[in-house]
Amino acid sequence: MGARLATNILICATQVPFVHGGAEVLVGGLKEALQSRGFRTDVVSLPYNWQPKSEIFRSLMAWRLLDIRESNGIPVDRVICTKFPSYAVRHPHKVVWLVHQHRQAYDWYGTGYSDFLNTPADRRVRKLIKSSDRRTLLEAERIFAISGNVSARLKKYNQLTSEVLYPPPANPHLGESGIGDFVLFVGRLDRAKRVELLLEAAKLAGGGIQYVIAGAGPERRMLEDKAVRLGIDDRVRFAGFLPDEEIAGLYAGCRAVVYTPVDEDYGYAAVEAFFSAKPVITSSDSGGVLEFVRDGETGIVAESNPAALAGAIARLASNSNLASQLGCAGLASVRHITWENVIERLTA
Amino acid sequence: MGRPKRIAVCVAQVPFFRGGAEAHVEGLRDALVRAGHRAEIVAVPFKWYPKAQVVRSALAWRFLNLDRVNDEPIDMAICTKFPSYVLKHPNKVTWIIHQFRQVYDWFNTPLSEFTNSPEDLEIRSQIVELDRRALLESRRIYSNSKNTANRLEKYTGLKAIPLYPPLQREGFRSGPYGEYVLSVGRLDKAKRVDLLLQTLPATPTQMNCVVVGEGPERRKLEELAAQLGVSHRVKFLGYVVDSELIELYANCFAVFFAPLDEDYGYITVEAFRAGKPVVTAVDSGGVLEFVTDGESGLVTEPVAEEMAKALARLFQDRKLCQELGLEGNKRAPQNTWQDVVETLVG
Repeated sequence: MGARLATNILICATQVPFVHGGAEVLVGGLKEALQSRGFRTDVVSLPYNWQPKSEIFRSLMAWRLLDIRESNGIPVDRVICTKFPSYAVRHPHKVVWLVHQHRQAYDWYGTGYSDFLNTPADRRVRKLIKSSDRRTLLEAERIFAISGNVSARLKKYNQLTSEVLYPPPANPHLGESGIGDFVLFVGRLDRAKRVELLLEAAKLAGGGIQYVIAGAGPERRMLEDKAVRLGIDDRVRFAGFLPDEEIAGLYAGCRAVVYTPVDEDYGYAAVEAFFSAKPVITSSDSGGVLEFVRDGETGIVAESNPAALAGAIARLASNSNLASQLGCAGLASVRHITWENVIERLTA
Repeated sequence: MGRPKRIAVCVAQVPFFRGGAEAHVEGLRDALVRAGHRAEIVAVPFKWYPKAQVVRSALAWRFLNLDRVNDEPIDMAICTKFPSYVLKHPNKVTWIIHQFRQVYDWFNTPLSEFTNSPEDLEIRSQIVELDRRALLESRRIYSNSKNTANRLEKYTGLKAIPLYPPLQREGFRSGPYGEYVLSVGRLDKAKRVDLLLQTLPATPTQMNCVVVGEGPERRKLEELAAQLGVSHRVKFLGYVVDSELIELYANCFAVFFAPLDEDYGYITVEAFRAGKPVVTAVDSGGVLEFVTDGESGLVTEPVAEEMAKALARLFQDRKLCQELGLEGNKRAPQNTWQDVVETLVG
């Protein structure tokens, strides 16, 4: 019997109730892209809990208990799994588009971002996550990673090879319209995004430059307080969580985007900035962002300290031609990132 | 209202399918948000075949932990359809809209895959045990109708408080009592639309019927209409948009709704909102909580001859249609989503 054309596809996602970030955006975009091309598509999303650490295994078990080879008589031709632990699901035609693993047990281990200690109990949990990842990922027919960064980690820690497949931005309103004056940050306000670096840089970069910080998250209050303490709250606007259209408007109207997360998996904000023909200022330890931002070509890569960032901001603030030029080069560099291409490869 | 809460609304998912349960939990989530709470739907795929998968699907809920997520507590879990209430949560409120009927009232009937075989009995007892234990953990148990509450008590000994769900559509209006009887709902066996078709040879030839909805039985029903020689009197419309459905309700003379032991039955309430009488059967379950024979509709044995008489009677007496329909509208539950939120969250 010939292979059945994959027409019914389930996307497997990980839900962290009340938290919405890049992974949710990716899943929403993928679902829409599949549906608009005629695939029957639905999302299966299980809540994930990692505290205490024993919960990680229970979350894995829940995925293992599901049978999603068929749904009420409709065959599921393929599943596309995204974030840990969604790829633990069993399916004869499993494709993984890896968003990220449980980073606390991998690259964050030994840093302040990880809750894993060098104790026998934690070492055991790490080992189990590692072996579970290897086993469940090996069940996949193909493994894609959302960035070279994620792909390299998978190689380094699990000795598994994957293909890089960049997700396009899901915001349909992105577009270019000249160059503006203010400096923009878009993203979740959590520690790993290091927005406090931007605030300190804003202080050093001097007056006259306005900032917009769009996004919500646990650090918001702290950041607002910090802006007040630094005496820059008259120049920094916290815009909160905004609808796509307004976000696109901010991208279209800014001078530059500052995005300096710690070793980001991918970095939507950079790609979105480029689709809006705006340059990106990032830092040399920002991970996946560096796959897009090339210093002096499409943005500025600075050291992750306030002084270096302030220098970069001042440079683009005082030179709109340079900002335009870098932004246009940025746009050219991301044009190949399309849903067309993504769907073709995920459903091949 | 007290302090805003973070609430997980839990439901079983059948991937690729959207039905009443999905609309129901979305309505609940939106109402919670309107009331100032934060609410998010948690859905886990449910597969009921092979039979052992029922237990595995239920156990998956047991492995989830929604007590705290990302260092913040989730204050409450509202569980709905089986097996979502198998979730463990310190503040679990269950609003049952379905048990797994195959092992309860449908057990060992043609509607169930479960028979008296030793394997089936074993799986059945596991499901019943899980149900009992999980439901007992609930702070409070509500059901979507008296019928569902009675069934729960009969099979598990647990009591539930009926809490009727508000309608998912709004804007019903009453128009002239026209020439057709309306049937709305999923075209599956339990809805017994075949009964309606079988009445047509015995009802006035000017009487037509309009069937709204899709489902596995559609082909068979169309064939049945052809065999009975009444195809010209039946329109199968499939899915229609809400505005069209409201017009169809507004202009029919009566609504046929005679499912087999329905849990609740939105259709009854929608018919009444449009001022139309409901023709139903003595074994239609929740429908009978609002339809009383000769008062708000007509109730007959689930056989074509009796149904035909009832429909003919209404077709020939539009004044009666109006009386029954208006009385029905008085009896239909009036609770709003706001009432539901107050009851569930307190």
